[in-house]
Amino acid sequence: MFVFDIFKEDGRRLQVVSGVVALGMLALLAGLWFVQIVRAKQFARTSKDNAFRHVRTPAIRGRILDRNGEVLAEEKPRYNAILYLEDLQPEFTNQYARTRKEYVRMHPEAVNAKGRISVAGSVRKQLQLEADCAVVSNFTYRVSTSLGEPRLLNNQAFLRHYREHPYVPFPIVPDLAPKQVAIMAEQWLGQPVIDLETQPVRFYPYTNVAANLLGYVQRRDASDGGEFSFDLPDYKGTSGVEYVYDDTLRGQPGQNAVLINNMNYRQSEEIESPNKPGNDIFLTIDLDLQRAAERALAKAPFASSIVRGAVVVLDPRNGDILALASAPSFDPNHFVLGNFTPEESERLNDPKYTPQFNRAVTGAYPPGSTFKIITGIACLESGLDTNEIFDSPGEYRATPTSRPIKDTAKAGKYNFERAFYRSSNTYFIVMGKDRLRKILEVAKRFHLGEKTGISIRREVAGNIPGPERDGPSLGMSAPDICIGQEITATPLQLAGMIEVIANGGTLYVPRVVSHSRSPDTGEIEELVAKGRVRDVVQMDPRDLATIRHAMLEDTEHPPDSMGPGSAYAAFHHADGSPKLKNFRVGGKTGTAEVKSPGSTFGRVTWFDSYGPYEDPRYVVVVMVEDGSFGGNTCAPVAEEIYEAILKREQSSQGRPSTLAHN
Amino acid sequence: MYEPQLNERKSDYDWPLAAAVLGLMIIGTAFIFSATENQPLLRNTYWLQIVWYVLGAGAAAAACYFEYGSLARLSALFYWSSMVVLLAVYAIGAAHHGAKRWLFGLQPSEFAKIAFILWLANYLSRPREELRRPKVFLAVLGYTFLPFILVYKEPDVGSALVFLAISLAMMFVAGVPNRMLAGLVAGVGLLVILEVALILYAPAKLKIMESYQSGRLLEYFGRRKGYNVEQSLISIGSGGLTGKGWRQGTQHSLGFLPTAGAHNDFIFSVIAEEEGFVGSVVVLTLYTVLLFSGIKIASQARDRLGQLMAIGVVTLLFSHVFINIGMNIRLMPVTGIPLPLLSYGGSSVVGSLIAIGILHNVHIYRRYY
Repeated sequence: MFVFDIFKEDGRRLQVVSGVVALGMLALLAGLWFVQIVRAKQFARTSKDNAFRHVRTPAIRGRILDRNGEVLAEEKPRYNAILYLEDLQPEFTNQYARTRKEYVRMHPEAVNAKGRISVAGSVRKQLQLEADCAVVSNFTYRVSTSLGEPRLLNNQAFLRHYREHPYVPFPIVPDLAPKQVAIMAEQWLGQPVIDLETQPVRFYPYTNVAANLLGYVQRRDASDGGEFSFDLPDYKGTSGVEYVYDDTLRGQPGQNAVLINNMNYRQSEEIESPNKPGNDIFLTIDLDLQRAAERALAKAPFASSIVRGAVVVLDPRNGDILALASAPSFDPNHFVLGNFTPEESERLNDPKYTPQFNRAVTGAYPPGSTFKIITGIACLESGLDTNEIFDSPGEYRATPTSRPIKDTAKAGKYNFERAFYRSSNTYFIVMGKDRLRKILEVAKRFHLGEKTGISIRREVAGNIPGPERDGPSLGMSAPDICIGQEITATPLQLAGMIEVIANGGTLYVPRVVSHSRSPDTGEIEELVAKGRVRDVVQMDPRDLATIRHAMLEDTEHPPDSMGPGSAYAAFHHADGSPKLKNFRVGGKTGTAEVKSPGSTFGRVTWFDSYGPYEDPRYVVVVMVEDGSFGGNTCAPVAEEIYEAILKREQSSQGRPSTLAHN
Repeated sequence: MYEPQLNERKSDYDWPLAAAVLGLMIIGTAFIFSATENQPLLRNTYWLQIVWYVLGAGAAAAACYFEYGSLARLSALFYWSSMVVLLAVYAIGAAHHGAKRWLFGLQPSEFAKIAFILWLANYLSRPREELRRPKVFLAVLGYTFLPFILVYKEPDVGSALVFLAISLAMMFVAGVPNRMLAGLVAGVGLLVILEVALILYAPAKLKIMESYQSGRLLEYFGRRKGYNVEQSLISIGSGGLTGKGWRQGTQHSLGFLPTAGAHNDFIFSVIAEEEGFVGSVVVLTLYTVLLFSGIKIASQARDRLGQLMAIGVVTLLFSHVFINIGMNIRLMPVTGIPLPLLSYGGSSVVGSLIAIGILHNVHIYRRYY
């Protein structure tokens, strides 16, 4: 009754309370539905982003080898002592406590009335960084001292590493020697904090040899793609073969997933995708010939103490380049390690020496008297009689009062051959000046003044006008062109010219890179086709024979009243016996004056040659800037190279074809 | 004649309630273990939680030893001693994370809430007509605002709000006229809106609450990025339907969910990450069973005193559950309210179990019909 009534009334109120509770729980349920079902994927991704970082791991770079498999560039392991920052957390905490205590001692105002330490957030951060630096610095000093090279920590480098990617180990002593590696293994390994890291470093075992050709690599730290949080240091080819074939050499990087905690410390690491090593590249270069060529070039007589020049040695039967030298050279290992001395740096950037400049393909030089081969062919094709005697005054004057063009060949009687092997400017100017169009046409036939198409970069074309440019607007004097001045070509192009003479009419595309090979599967891929014919150069066989014989006379004609072949002295002993046993060489010397005001050299000397005469297997072209004469500067260099060739042929059981691969 | 029957005691258990409590205790232990197993300093937390469960169960048993009427007679003593203790906290209490809530390792506010429920149930179980008197209403307000202010100043806004909620719910069920209650709600609502508006739009000179509290409000309204709430949302959301598995949660083991909160205020995030939506629903269900058992006990109470006590306990537990889980999923701004029986903390566990003991007390002395 009275009691029941009370409850009946309360029933409704209790229902309201029930309703409120039910509504509340449903609201929570709806919220959870939204977060855990509707938005689950987004949160799962964020959770993963919190926890994972992707680190790119580079692959082993492919090697560069010569035609016989000698290693010209490879990766060597480099050992660094490293610290795992995540293992240092307890030390960081302890050191922070000490640092803070010290701070409070120096700043008593940090302790408030109740005896509690209260430090501003920014100060606390500062103290933490100080403490962390102290711990790492301490380790750095102790470890480096035990290895015999005490080192101080670079605080800034450490703080940057700590801020940006603490989940990657921090290197404290780089580049350990084997003895130091042993000390590390003995004293430090086995503890959690310190480890030894193996880093591949590009290494060129023959330092300066073929440096321009090989190029070099530089460390690449910045990432190209956005999906990596951090790239382990990688190398990228920046010039030469390293650059042009960088993709082949580099392989494919792999990826590691690093699990991190909220402090960015590494918890664990997993290989997501393994890396694939780069392919080895085989060149057509023969290491022994290359070294011989560079040695001979550096000793070029009657030139500057630091020789500036180039040598091309190629096989006229297929266009394979056996040696490509450019002096002065440099040590590419310094580029990799970044450890040039100040003098080396200075010389690298010297505009006169330009060691990084490959003079064989990037240098355009006036061919000088070697161009008389072209002038000669042009005259022969226009009906010049090789037996006709020309009485040379010993110099050429366009008009009786104009300035003369000097001639090293003295005044006297010359036929074609003598004019050739004595390199008479007067003869060739007189015979050639009215046949300019023909000369330019022949030059074009030999593709002089055009790029050869070799696969390495930075080739230049030089400057030889086409025959259609003959006329008042040409801008060059006909006499100069006849003797190979004012026009320019590269040593490689001239080697092509000699190649055509040597093999009788085929101009090949020169090849310096041969094929690549995969290190794990052994799969071979031809990178540049062998013996690719660029053009067939038409020549009358009689003219060819005339030129060939004249070139032979250049090295073999003994001294007489008018003088020996301009290269005779280089190829013969004082008693007249030939220096090369059973190996006859035909060539042409050249000396050109350079008159352009901005040039870093005033004179260019040449010797373009081939051998053996009867069955040509080699073309050797030597160029030296500021040499004395082609005959006394470049020809001796070539002679030394032929000696090396002979030795090489004999060491492979005298079978010359072993020098040609495959 | 009725007397012997009215005072009859039925020593049976409300089985759904007991099952829900047991379930929550097991879950609490399991996930406190998961949340703390990788923290060397907190390794044995789950053991301590079991200790608190046992102690709390003992306290609950003590709370139902005597019929609740006798408890009510002591309610004034409980109330005023609680207020004294709250004052003591304010004066000499230990500060922790910037809040002065602890005294000798315990949080008095948890016990003050229970004392308040007892006192208010007793005060409101006077004849209904008396409740229409404004003097009574104002007295209730006064006795409510005293602990409210003391707790608010600790500062502990969440717990202070719980006092308000309990007071409102108990007054409503007791029969205080609706228009008075409406006036109270409107007044409080206006004050809240005013305070929030001031924090959002007014210059920083006006200090209404601690900077970190106003910061939490700003985070809630999206004005500022809140790290804890971001991480708890990520924890809960990345659990998906079935979660990552017990002890497989990455958010707390990797430290993204702060270690200080993973096992107490944010324990729900740990459960949600590891057991997914399924786990969340289980927890919600257990609490719902708990709360509705309490309401049923209230409806079967023998007298208004018992009913009001039961409703007070239900409101206490519901507020904690709603505010804590709401905070975890950003439905509510962040306040440091523990989740009953799941969060780690002696005062919270023992307090919750005493409250459930009171429910049991009302249950065993219920109407026989």
